[in-house]
Amino acid sequence: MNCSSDIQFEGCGEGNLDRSLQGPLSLLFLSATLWLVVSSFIAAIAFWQLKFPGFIDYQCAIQNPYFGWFFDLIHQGLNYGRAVAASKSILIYGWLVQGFLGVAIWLTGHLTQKSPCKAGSYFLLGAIALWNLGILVGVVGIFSGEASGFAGFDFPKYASAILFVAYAFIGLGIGMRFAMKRCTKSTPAEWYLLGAVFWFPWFFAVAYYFVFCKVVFGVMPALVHAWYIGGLEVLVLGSLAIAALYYWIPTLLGVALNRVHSAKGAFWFFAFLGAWTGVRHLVGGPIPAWMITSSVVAGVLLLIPAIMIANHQMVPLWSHWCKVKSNPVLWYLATGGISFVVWVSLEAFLSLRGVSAALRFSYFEMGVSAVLEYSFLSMVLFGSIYAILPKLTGKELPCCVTCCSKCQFWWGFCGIITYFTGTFCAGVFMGLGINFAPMAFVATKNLASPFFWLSVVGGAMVLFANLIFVKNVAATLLAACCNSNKEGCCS
Amino acid sequence: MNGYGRLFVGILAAFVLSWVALILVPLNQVGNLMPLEDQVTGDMNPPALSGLAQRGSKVYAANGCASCHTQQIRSESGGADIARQWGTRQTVARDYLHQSNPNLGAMRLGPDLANLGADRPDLNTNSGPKKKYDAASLHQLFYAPKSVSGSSHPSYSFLYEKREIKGIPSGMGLSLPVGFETEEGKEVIPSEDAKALVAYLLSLNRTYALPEAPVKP
Repeated sequence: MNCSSDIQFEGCGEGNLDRSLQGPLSLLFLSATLWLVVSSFIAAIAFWQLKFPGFIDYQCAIQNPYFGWFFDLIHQGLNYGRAVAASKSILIYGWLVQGFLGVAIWLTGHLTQKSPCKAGSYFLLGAIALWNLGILVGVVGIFSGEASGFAGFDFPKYASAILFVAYAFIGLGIGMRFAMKRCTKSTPAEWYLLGAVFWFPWFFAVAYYFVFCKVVFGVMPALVHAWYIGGLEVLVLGSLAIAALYYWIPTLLGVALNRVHSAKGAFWFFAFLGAWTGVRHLVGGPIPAWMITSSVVAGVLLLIPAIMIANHQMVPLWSHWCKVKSNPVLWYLATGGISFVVWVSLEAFLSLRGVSAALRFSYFEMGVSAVLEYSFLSMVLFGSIYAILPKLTGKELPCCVTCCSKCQFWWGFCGIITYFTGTFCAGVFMGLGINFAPMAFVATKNLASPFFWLSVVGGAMVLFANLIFVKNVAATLLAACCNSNKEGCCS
Repeated sequence: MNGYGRLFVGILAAFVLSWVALILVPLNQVGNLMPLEDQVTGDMNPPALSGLAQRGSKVYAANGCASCHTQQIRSESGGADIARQWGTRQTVARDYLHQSNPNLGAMRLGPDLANLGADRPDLNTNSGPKKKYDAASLHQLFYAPKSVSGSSHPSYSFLYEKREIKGIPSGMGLSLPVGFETEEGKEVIPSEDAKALVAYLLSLNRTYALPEAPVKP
């Protein structure tokens, strides 16, 4: 396992490697951050409509003789249902999947020490452009009323096909680079990375077939959709985040992982259990009970590999607290790593029968998915991007960016805690209200209302943190582009 | 086989195992269900969906209705769905046989719609006499939700067309309550999508008994 220790790579032809990846990855990270902000704004518009359902209403807009058509368009596209679908899809495919693919491409280069040739770079650039085109087409499709209606897999058929083709080029490139690697001993980061690279197209293809090809009617598409979302959350995005943590923590700290001999066991445990967890999203639903039971059990058992992984990664962070304190990249990674365990526990808790009777279908689910999407996945992605950018541009991060990244961390961190507290309390009150049959349904929402406002505040803080992030990425890439010196940027 | 080969086989095995168990096996179990004949009335349960309703199910999906409404009744031990009179029994796989998109939903910001087309008390207040929803009241809710008391439903007025009455009224225009009427000489006509959506919603009725999900007397 030591034959390709990550730390030894520093310095051997790294500059060349980073130079060949600079173009494609700059485009990728910039577009991913832009999608993150677009998604946040659309989510904000959607959220606001929960309290003020008529605020983009056509009724008043139609009075305007000149811009009536424009308001009509906005009303159609950004109506709550469509806006939620769009913001979720953009967040998953535009930001999370795309961002983590960027991290995977960069890690692949550094783990295999193979830089793409010039043609390869252009090829990669083309694939990334195609991926973004697919997302753009998909978003327009959702706004114009062609969403599939399966949350998290909402893009219309044609947009999903474009995404699949674009991914095939990227995934094939990563796979081939590992196939050509001379040293055949592998590190934990590589297992998770390769796993995710292969799992994503497989899960995606099965979901595509059942959702769009209409081979079976009835609950089957819903079942496949739940299974796909579980695979995407745990095995694809989760794996990539864990791979990033396995790479960055020893590299940045300069120390070995804790008890890493158990890493292989943890990986296989994680891989075999992770693929079973999706169906728990249908607890109580119209599908065979044995499937739900097995999925709930898998979800609870997933805590074992999660704790093992956290033990490998978080113990070195804890014992080198001084280094962590001085490096904001490690703040993000530590938050992400801990949130992984928190998320696995929350999902396991939510899938228990008694709990799910009360909390399923309430705001609480929004909070749990925010823990996954923001505090686990996005935090790891922020940290990874902040760690990759200076290597990619060949310069230290401009001092203003380092400073702002600390600021972004605190806004995001406090924001997500506020948001989660809000949705948790709102979810508990709403869920208990709905399950108390004598209470009128409309009254349950009033119960949740004060806490709902707390989550609005939290969401706004996260939105602000995302804006800082976009500014940081743009500033770093711009500084590298213009070849300006550090002082120039700071002033 | 080198280390990467073994790794690949393991990765493939993890996927295939879950694919066989959670997709292929249930495909045989729930993919082959057939409608059943009611012994008393001779009706087929669940009843077939009209073409218009089938189209409406797509409109329902495309507008993200499932982000607020579920269409699944859990058993009595699994929640208060039946106590709220959202349904008379738990919904099972056979109920969704004819749906190209089952629209199960994941949030209940609005009430459950699994039996919207059946006799039931008011959805929002959960009280009052049992009655069937009719097309006119649903059109009113989508076009002018503020005219329905206690509703925080968003407006879907873009599914309707406001046009001048030329000659005699078409008879398809919505009848809106006082304070929400259209201007003199104009009428509001539902589009094909709106009609399809309403037809779909009114077709939602899972009150018939099935052997695997009997209705309690």
